Amino acid sequence: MLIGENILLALSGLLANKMRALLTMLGIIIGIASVIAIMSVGNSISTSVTSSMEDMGVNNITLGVSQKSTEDTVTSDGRVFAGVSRGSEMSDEDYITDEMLDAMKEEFSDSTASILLSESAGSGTAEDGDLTANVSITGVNSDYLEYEELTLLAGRTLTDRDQENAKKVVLVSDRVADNLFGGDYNAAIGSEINIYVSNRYYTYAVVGVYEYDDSGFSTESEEDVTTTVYLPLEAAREQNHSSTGYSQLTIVTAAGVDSTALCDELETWFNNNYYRSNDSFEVTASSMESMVSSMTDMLSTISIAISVIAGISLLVGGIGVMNIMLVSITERTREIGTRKALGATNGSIRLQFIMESIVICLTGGFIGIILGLILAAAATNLLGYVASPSVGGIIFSVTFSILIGVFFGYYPANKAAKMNPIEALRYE
Amino acid sequence: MNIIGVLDRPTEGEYILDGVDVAKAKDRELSGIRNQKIGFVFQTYNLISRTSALRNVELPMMYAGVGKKERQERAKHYLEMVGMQDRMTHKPDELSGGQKQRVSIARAMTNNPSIILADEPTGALDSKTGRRIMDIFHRLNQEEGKTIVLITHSNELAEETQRIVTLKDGEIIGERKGSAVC
Repeated sequence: MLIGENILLALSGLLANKMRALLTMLGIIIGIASVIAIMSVGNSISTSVTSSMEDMGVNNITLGVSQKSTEDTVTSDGRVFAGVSRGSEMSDEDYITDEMLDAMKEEFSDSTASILLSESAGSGTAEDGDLTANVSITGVNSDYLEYEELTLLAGRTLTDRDQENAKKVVLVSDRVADNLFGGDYNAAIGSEINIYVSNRYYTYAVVGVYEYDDSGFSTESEEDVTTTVYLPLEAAREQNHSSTGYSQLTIVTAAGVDSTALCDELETWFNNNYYRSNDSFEVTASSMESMVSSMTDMLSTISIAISVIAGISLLVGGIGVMNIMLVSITERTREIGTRKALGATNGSIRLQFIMESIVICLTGGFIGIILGLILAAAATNLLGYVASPSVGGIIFSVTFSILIGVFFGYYPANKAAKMNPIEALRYE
Repeated sequence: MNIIGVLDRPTEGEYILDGVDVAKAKDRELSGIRNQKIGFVFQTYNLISRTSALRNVELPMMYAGVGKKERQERAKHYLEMVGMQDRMTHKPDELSGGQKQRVSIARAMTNNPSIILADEPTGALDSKTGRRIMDIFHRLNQEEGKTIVLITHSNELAEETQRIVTLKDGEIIGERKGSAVC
């Protein structure tokens, strides 16, 4: 009952002295607002980044050939040269070959579902007289096409025969068909299209039209959007005059496989079997899962760093509250004396002032939470993410405000409680 | 006054109030005695300025742990007794000196103490309002049977009481009967 009375009393005290209360709470408000804003912005960034990464396939492993960095070398006179990566070009023997992949499939048959191979054959414009469409040409294997789960609107997909014979046949998006064939998908099937890439025209036969899935990342207008033209992998490699290897490929792991662990196994296997004698290159594997977790780690590190700064602001704010409580107790010495004469125990005086301090801090905390949420909403809006307020941050802020109130209110409250009633009543 | 009001402990001699030795009592017990057995009326009223007259009167009952509803009823009752029923929601700033003193008498009465300790209750008031305050004290003494300890410099006021103890520099120098009828 006394607690309720004290809260009302403290609130009326705050309202009676608005400017002072606001200035006192400022440190708390700024501290809490920045904690809430940072946590909410971090929260919404990591939610949307994680979900977009999961869309891309969290269980995929990317294998790539990358340059080795040399070991640190120590010269005879004790000087240390830090390891640097050598700037050498990749030669034919550095690439991952089909033989390696066949061996890998055998070795890891239980954990890999499919291997997605692709090779870019450049990007340019598909032209038909005056009509154009922006495209990028990608040579893909059949696993890749299967994984993409394209929706065919007309024609057929690329077959194994197309792949084996390196036929110059392509799948184009409905956007290309709209631009070049006026939306008549059936007319597109069987027609030849010319694609202008790096000063040359390449001619392909269209065998299928797929539905372009606008994932929302594109900044181009509807008409100019660049869509992918899928070509059999071998045809793309022939066109590029490229060697028999890959510098990068994607492995889809089987269900229930720990992709982070598989990354390590794959790296070890490749490097032990094929790259042991290679001085400049090695195979590295990374999964979306490890990327997501390193991204989340990074975000939380930043959040913690900023929270520490906010914590300092809260500390300063708390000291401000303590200061104002000491002033207020001096001002109200007679009131304290009167209360004691009327039968207030030391405990009830202490409770009154601690409650007052808590009310100041909590009010500051609530204002800070609201301000922080507004800031976070504005910031996420600006960055183009969906705002997702951090519930943990709000709970943390409320708890922390109360703790500051108790911690910095205790000393002044105790001082008030220990006042001698006679002296307090005589105080002018 | 501080000793009688158990705001302070006697350094010499004994003060036994209702069987409690004040010199040896704990702080908490003294708070209880002040709350239940003594009603304070100060020269400067000492009302809490941020809250209404009603809440000021409720204060001693709050420390006694009386429930909200009963507290308000009793506070209203005593405010009516001192003729302040029309100004219960006013803050002390909005009241005249005499009105403030009446509120503080109501405050002193709420826990029904046996002693009312009035320290120069009319010292800051003009003689007319002072008269009204004294009339209230007489009424409390006669109708409610309260012991009223009145501290004053005015011989005139002292004559209205039943017993006069004269102090000089902290020493009792005389005691006689007042002119009031027993």
